[in-house]
Amino acid sequence: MDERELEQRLRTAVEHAAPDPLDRILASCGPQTGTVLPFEAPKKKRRWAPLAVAAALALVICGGAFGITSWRGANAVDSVVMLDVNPSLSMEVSAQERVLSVTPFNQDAEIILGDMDLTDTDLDVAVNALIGSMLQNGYLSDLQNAILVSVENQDAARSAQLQQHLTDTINSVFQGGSLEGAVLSQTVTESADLNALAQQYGISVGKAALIQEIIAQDSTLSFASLAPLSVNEIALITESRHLTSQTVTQTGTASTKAYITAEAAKSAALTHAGISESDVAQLEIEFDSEDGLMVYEVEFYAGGSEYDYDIDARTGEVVKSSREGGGSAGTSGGTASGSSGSYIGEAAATAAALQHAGVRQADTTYLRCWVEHDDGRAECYEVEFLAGSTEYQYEIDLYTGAVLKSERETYGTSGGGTASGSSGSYIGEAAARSAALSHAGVSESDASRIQVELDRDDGRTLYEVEFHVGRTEYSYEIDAASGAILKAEQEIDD
Amino acid sequence: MIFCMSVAEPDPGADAALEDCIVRIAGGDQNALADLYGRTRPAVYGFALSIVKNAHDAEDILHDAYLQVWNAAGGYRAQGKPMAWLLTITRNLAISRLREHGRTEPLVQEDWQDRLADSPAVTHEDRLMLQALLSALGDEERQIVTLHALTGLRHREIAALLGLPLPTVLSKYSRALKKLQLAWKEAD
Repeated sequence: MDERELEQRLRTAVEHAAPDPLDRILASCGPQTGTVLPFEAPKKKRRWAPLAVAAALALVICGGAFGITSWRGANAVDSVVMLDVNPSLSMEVSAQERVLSVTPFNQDAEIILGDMDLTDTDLDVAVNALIGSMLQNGYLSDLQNAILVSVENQDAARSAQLQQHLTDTINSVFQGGSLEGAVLSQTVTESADLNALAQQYGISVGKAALIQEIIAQDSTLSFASLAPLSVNEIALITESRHLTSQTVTQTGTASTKAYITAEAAKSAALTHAGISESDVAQLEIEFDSEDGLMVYEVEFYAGGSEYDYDIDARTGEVVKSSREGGGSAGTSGGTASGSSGSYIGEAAATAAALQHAGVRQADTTYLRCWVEHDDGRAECYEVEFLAGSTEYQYEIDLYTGAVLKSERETYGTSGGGTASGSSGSYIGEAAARSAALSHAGVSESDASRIQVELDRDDGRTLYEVEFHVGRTEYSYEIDAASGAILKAEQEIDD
Repeated sequence: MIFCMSVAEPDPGADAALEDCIVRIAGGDQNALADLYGRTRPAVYGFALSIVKNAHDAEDILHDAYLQVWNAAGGYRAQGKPMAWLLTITRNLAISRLREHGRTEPLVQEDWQDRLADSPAVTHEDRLMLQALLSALGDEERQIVTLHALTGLRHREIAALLGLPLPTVLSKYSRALKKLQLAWKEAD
């Protein structure tokens, strides 16, 4: 059974084994909660007239007179409301929506609070004052416009209601301050784990929960790298990576005004690499944070190499660049347009591969050629064929017919006529095999299931040689050019 | 009946159809969800199974993944990568599941066999193949080979999805197929 058949069989087995819970799924589909970062349109609904920021501040600074009401006796904590911008703080709130206490988690929050005493004020008034102060102190602006509101209350319905109410209130303040802000809101449940993280990083439990949800979805992000970032920066990173959230609702859009455009970051990377955009494939641009610095991470493939750049998102400066693999003789010519008008055609691609391999089409037992797509773009022809017990895989340039990559693999046991490496600069499969066998002190007739494969690994070209003697499996990596033994392993089969 | 699909080859048209489904799902169309499900169920289930190695959990993930698609479709941005998006959701759910367990649940063969026996569509050959897949391969090998066989993703896309370097994916893929072939032959 060849590899195609094997894959087909696997496909069939999974198709047969897969259960069919469609009815259950559809029955579970409630109203769509739209649980994705980011949401585009800000909510229109406004329950309160916008309060002037200055008025709110004055109200609070004037003291508790406004706050003293008949509810004063109700000192039980009903909800905890957390605000994170970069200032991070939490408020304990009574069932009557009066603030019982305020806790700043970082120095920025202390600056925001200044000499305001929010104890016993109405929650709306307190939120107005806090947002006003953040605007005044420049923590919220056109450049950093996102705030995270987290609500904790044992009653889920009450949490949801408060979450919505606060979102509306904050949007009103934003509107009053002529700011197009973004409000992320969520309901959180405290846990020992979250508390510990929040304490460690000087952030609210709400921000800790948000970060934990994000890193669970993207293993390249870490808690430590996200914790110092502003909510605006975190929102941009999650947005650029299309991460979804089950719990966070967002109104408005996080600001990118502090940063160069993704397009400019791309140009910076391509210019540095000396490659034109038409020659690259699978280009991806995402926001990332490097030691607290916002960068665009730009990745692409060109000429068989993988390029990876970090571009300072504010200045466009190249912070980091790396290139892996490739450097092969083939150059990908032409433009990667979707049209196949100027492609050489499958017949010509097949002929190029066969010629390179020195194999006649009549001698193949399996032959297949197709256009390989990546990211919707045609990238190269892939040609696969089997001749005798050797399988060949080629990548052929769409326009020039140049061999971009070739691999061959010989199956079978001892004595099988392995074609010697056709790549002039390599020692050939037979020599690689001999080198491995002689290192192992094993004669060819004693070894079974000998496999030799030309492979590229981290830019090195090497032969991977595997064989069995009894229950022992030997694996070797042999430098394809020098014949040096790079790795030798033996393992007893169970 | 069992829905069969051939996704071994890249097909931009198929991606467009999936994207169309997602757009319609975002508009609250349950038929579109059923359509997407019909086109992708084996891929999602197979990938989930290849991570959690447990038929029961894989079924839960299959259920939860489409539910999450239902809720998250509004935020999907058309980029020509609907399958990668769906599989990222699947992978996240599967990894969360593993974390809940605190470790990879060992595969209890009887459970697995019982579960398969429930499905009349599963043949003796299917059983051998799944057994080989689950017992003979390393975690990454199993995921890579499953993705390649079932999802139509290219090696590069698989590398991006799993966060592995492309050369690693290529070499693991080829090794995995060899191991699978060997295990299949031995079982046969």
